[in-house]
Amino acid sequence: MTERISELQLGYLALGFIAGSSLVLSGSAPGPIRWITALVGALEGLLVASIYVLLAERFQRKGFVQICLTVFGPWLGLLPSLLFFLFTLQLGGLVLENFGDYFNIAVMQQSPLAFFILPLAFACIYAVRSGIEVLARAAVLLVPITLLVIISLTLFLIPQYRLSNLLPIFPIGVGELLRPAHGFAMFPFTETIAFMMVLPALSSRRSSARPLFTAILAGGALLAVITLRNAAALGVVLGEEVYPSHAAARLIRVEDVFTRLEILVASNFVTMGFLKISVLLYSASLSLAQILRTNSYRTLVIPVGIMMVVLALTGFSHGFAENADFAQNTWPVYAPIFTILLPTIVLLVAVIRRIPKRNAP
Amino acid sequence: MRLAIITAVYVILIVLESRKLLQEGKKWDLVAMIVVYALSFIPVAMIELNIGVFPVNSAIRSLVRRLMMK
Repeated sequence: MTERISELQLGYLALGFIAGSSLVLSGSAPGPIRWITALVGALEGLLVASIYVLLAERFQRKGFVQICLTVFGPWLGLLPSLLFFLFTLQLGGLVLENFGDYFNIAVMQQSPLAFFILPLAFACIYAVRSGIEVLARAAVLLVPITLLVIISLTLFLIPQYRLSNLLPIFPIGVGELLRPAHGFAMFPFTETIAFMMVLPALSSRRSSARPLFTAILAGGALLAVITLRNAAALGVVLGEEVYPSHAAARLIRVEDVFTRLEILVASNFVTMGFLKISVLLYSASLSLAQILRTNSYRTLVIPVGIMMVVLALTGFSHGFAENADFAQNTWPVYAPIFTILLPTIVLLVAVIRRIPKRNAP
Repeated sequence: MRLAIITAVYVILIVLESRKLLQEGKKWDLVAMIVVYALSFIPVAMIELNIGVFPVNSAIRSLVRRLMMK
């Protein structure tokens, strides 16, 4: 049975994916300019996503693995396909670990990491086995609720805002701005390469560019608003906070009625983290199914999900500090190999070899 | 004890999936599924037997850092 999702569903799913773990994690730029780096990062993400769209347009109804197998042949194509599978698997494990770390550090310090990771992994496995249509419908329901919560938190925080917290407006040069902006582009915007496996499910024959680009721009604006809000509310403390959104929400106090609203940030992380991990699990399972040439990806979802959980629990030898360092210093160098270099090579080879042939069926 | 429970869960999952695939006559799917299940079981067993699993992300971090230093 062929699964189909609409443009709107794809847009919501992509927005939920981008919001994912970025809702609670912070960038590496100084507080007052972090929102600018989010916007510049979104623009870089947009540029990179255009490679994905070009590939998707060129090879209608084909996922990244099928494109690689077509462009490089059935044997040589296995190498980029395997790299793509391993990247989505690793990214899924990384997001799962971020999720566990957040709850372990900010909410329930005494509980083991597996206590948070396993229930979410079960939910993701169940959702992915139900199919991408179910996941897309869940996104249409969950993303607007998350947006509503973000808007509410932003409004409730108005009494805490200090304009002086946003000064100096531009404390570093343009050159220094590009490094954290690139970090933002790599996490989370170019991670949308996982959607190369989702785009073939798009029901309309029209371009996949509109929903994907809209989601990236909306995601950039959303992250800019969140980082601006956190900077205005937290001031100099922002740089020291591991989870700025959580810390900012803790400041909300409306007439002793609305207090301790940081749990709303946690609930946002649960829902958007669920969408992001599910999309990555779907991409990893589907790519592995296409590599192994099986009829359905559904039978592979559970073992691939177990691999993600194992990666989340054992990926780092020294826990959170190492994880944060990896996100800030290693990921911006390591991720482009898979998110920029790999699709660019595939596109260039396809153009040079004129694949697919114009008169091909 | 925990490893025995995990192994039992694995066996149950594989049997349940296999029955469906055999009924549909998808023998290659069955082989591929068993291989992937086996691959996912190896690190789980290593953790349970306290052998320890190679920390992938830590290794990548060290490698990138070393390359950046050069």
